Amino acid sequence: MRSATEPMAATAEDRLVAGFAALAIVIHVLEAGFPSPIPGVKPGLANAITLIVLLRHGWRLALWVAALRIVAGSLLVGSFLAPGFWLSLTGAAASLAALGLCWQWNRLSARRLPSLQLSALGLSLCAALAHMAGQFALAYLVFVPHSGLLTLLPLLMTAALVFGLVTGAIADAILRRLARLSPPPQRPILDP
Amino acid sequence: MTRGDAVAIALAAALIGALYAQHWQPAVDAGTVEIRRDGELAGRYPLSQARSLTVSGHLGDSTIEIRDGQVRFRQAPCRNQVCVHRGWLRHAGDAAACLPNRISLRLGGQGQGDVPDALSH
Repeated sequence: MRSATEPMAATAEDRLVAGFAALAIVIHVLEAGFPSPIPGVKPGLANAITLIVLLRHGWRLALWVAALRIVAGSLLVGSFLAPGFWLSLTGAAASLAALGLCWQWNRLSARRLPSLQLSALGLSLCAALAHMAGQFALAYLVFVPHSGLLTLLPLLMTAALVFGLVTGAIADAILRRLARLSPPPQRPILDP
Repeated sequence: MTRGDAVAIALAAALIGALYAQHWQPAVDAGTVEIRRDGELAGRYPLSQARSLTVSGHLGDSTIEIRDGQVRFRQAPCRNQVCVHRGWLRHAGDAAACLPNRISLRLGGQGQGDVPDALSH
């Protein structure tokens, strides 16, 4: 039997997760340095990494990368367990749930309606909208239950739409280059 | 971009359009004002009749003036006078508050507060 102090060997998969999570954390920290015009709005470029992992390596590894990025990123930025952290965490949970649903949709539609599959662009859009909606729901229901807050909702969702598409386009461009450099272990979803 | 992406973008745009339609109504003139002291309703008055009200709060008396479908804090005993500087209010949903004196007012629609401020299709 191995002793508890003996280090466990890292598998190739572990290294992959660690590498992608490290990339995502760097983007997360860099992004936190930019001031935001409205609280709750930021580009969310780190999500491009989640999308790339999702489309190349599947749902399980993407979840790991996203979770590591959220915990380690917020520790580094100093927002861990602060009020804003709960907003971000709710948003992240909602966005991962949306990604999971879209992923299921892609699997279901693969046989019958392959043209209706979502690429990185559509996935990123859904994730961004869900992130904003989840974050807003917590802010409205728990922190500031005042109807004046609803006036902000259309603006916030517009920002989510724009940034979701930008992040998705970036992820899409990177995926194409990666596909040329090295064929992915799984068949990625690209344009027909 | 796949056709699925195009559908997703169209749906998202429609959803956001609906949000704008829902939450960015044009401002409607208010019909009544609700005055609250310590968060509890102290009175509701129509904006059609000009009058001057004196409400006593934690610090002293605040004077509220109603005229020409508008309402304002005319005078307040607090130090920073935020409520007085808010000026005349006339749209449904507008509000002003004097936090030190714990008096606030909020404008409602045409009815007595139990009818919608506006309907749109």
